Amino acid sequence: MSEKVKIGVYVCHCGFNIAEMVDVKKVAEVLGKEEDVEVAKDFIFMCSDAGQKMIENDIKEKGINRVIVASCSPLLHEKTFQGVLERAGLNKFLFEHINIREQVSWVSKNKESATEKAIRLIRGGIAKIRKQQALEPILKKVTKSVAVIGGGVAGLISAKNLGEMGVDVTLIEKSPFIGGMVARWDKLFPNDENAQDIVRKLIEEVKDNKHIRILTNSQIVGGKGSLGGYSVTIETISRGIKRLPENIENILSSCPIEIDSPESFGLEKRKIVYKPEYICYPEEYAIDWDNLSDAKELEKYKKWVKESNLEEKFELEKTVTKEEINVGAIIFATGFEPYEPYEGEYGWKKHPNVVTLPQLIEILKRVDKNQTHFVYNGKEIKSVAFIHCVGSRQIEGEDIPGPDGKLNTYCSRYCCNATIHTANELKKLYPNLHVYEFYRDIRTYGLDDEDMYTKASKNDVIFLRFNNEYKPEVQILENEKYNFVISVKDQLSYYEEVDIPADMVVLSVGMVPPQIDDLVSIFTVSRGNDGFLLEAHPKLKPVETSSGIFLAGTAQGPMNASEAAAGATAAAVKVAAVVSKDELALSPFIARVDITKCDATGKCVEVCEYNAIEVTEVEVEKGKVERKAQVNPTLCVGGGTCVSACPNQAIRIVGWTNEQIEDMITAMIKEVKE
Amino acid sequence: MQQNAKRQKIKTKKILIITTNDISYLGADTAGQQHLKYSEDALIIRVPDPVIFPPDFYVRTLEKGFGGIIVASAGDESPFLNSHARLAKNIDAAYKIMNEKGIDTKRLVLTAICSICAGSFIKAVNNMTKYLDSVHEQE
Repeated sequence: MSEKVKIGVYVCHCGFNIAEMVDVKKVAEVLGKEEDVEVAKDFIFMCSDAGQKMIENDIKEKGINRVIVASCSPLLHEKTFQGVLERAGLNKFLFEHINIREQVSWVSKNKESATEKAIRLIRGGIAKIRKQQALEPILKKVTKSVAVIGGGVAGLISAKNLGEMGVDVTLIEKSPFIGGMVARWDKLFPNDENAQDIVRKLIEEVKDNKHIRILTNSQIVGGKGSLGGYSVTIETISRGIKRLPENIENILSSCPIEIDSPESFGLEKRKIVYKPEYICYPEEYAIDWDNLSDAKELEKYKKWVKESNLEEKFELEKTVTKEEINVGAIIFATGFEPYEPYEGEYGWKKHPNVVTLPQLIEILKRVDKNQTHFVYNGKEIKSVAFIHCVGSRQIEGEDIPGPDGKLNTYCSRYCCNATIHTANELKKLYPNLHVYEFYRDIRTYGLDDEDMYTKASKNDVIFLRFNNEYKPEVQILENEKYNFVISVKDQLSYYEEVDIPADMVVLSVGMVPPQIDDLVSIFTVSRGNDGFLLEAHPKLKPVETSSGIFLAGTAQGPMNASEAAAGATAAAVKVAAVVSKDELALSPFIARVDITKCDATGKCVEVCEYNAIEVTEVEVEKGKVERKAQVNPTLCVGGGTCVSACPNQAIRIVGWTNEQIEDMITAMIKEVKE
Repeated sequence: MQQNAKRQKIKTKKILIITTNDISYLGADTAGQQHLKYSEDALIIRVPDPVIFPPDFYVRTLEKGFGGIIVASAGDESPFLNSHARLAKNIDAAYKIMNEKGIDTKRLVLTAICSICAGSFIKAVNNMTKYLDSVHEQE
């Protein structure tokens, strides 16, 4: 026999915050007459010790077994009052929080109407809590290790932090080397820190940590499970070097296969057997199998290996090995790609002196710093024009969508700072160089970053502002003193048309998300409109997704190295909090199937994005087996797509059943009588 | 069917606002934190995601006496994959039933409210309030 429902209703004054607009005494008085309400009280501050004690005593002494507190937002005090229930020995889920401050007193003008509104809302809560059952979190045993995907700065920092806490980490990097994008930079804004030194330090710390296992040339190709316990399949491709020849550089000079080096952002050619010039790990050569995927190229490579008698040194074909590991949490530190301009965009690919910002940084790394003149492609550069927002903040009708048909409407955030920092670097190296910046808005938002902008102005960097509708036009000049003339309607001089001569055009390209569709699909990670991975909540869960995956660095969106480091540290701490537990208490608010109503239509299976439901054989009564939908409680996220999809209403979200909500609605619309 | 159905009258000017636990409920809270005023007839409930409701739920709610419903989805910010698209389909299906029953489809609005979108929230409530006021006067 079920226990008699005894509801306690507690209405808070919140000082005058609620009581000024809501007649709290009347609310308590009216609701005290509702069916199943055992006590209804008002109090000056329900969250105070005295208020909490009052509720606790009522539970213990009056046998209250359902509690409603009408006060401020549940975001502030839901957990406080759930704690009261727990202290009084009552299941914390037999609690309903009604918000009569942010959603009643603070938004109302009429006290009588506001009071009636509060009564209706609390009455809805009474109707809901009446059918609420005690719930227990779903306990899941935690595997105490972590997979970090991506060996850039964010991945390295996450791995390092976890390793230092004694957590076993598998760091999985798709390319043959860890180090990531920051390893390719030179000085980092705003304080000119050496990027190589930072990455070197991180690599040292990671490779020396006994808790961290580094897998390069590796990627996740399969996975199942949820937070607390995943089984992950990793595919590793061989590096291709059996034994490194002593005179490797000489040998490679005869290698016929060369590609545009991604490591130099396409500025140079490199061989198919390679090792980056910048800091990376392992510092061992590898064969670029990705660029040998074409059968003809592979044959050409094999022929060269055979003809050069290198078969004992280099593998002829890649070998692939697979392994499965179990981890309790996964961090996506999958990074970004620089935006690739389309051919002709501000002269891109039409003239070799139209370069991207990453390319210019690469060029400056290589110049002879003792030279007083900037020489590139055999010609002195006297004037450089930077164009901001290339591939960022695109506008429909004004910009050309990318190959996927999408516009990058977002601001890439790092590029203003990086561009101005590079402009200052140019002026430091070549004080007589003319530097122009064509910009839409300057967003030097970080600590010390505005100083770079001020410094650029003092360095005589000339800023010209354009409207996206009237973009700068880059005209390529033949056999003239300068390579280009850039025309713009400058907003700073009342849309005066200005022509600027330049020898080099630098495109400040934004960040775009990398191609990680397979990973996203395996772990059902949400993406934002910008294509980057989406956190569950920007403030409350800023580094975790709704499916329990954690995010570090630019996997989440454009950010600079400092922000990426902060995000990576946050992700590591959040993950440590998970894997330090033996068991994980998962939300009990998940889908549950009423097998008496289920006809195994499979509609719920079709709509579940988390693969949390399957139709399987279930013993419906002793000796009788039928096919029914069943929910995997560790995979279900409680979104409820399955609920409305079921034609038989056989599935519901525990704690939020449609029956409860319909009861709420009936109670709320009922006339209010005093 | 629509032509034959007699137009149902609005019983009250009460508005049911269905918000999401993680996103649009916070948007409504933000409006409160800014002390932006709106009709006391607007009653807010929260659920994990409005996608849990089948299309006929909305019709029943209107028939129970609510003048209008605002479904404040989290839109593309929803933490639940593809829930907004499926919710939109449910609302479309609800419109079909409403047409068949002679219920003005303007009484059901689907909108996306982010966790700080106080302005959008107030706009949605005010629009529904104005609409219900005008219909109420005519009736």
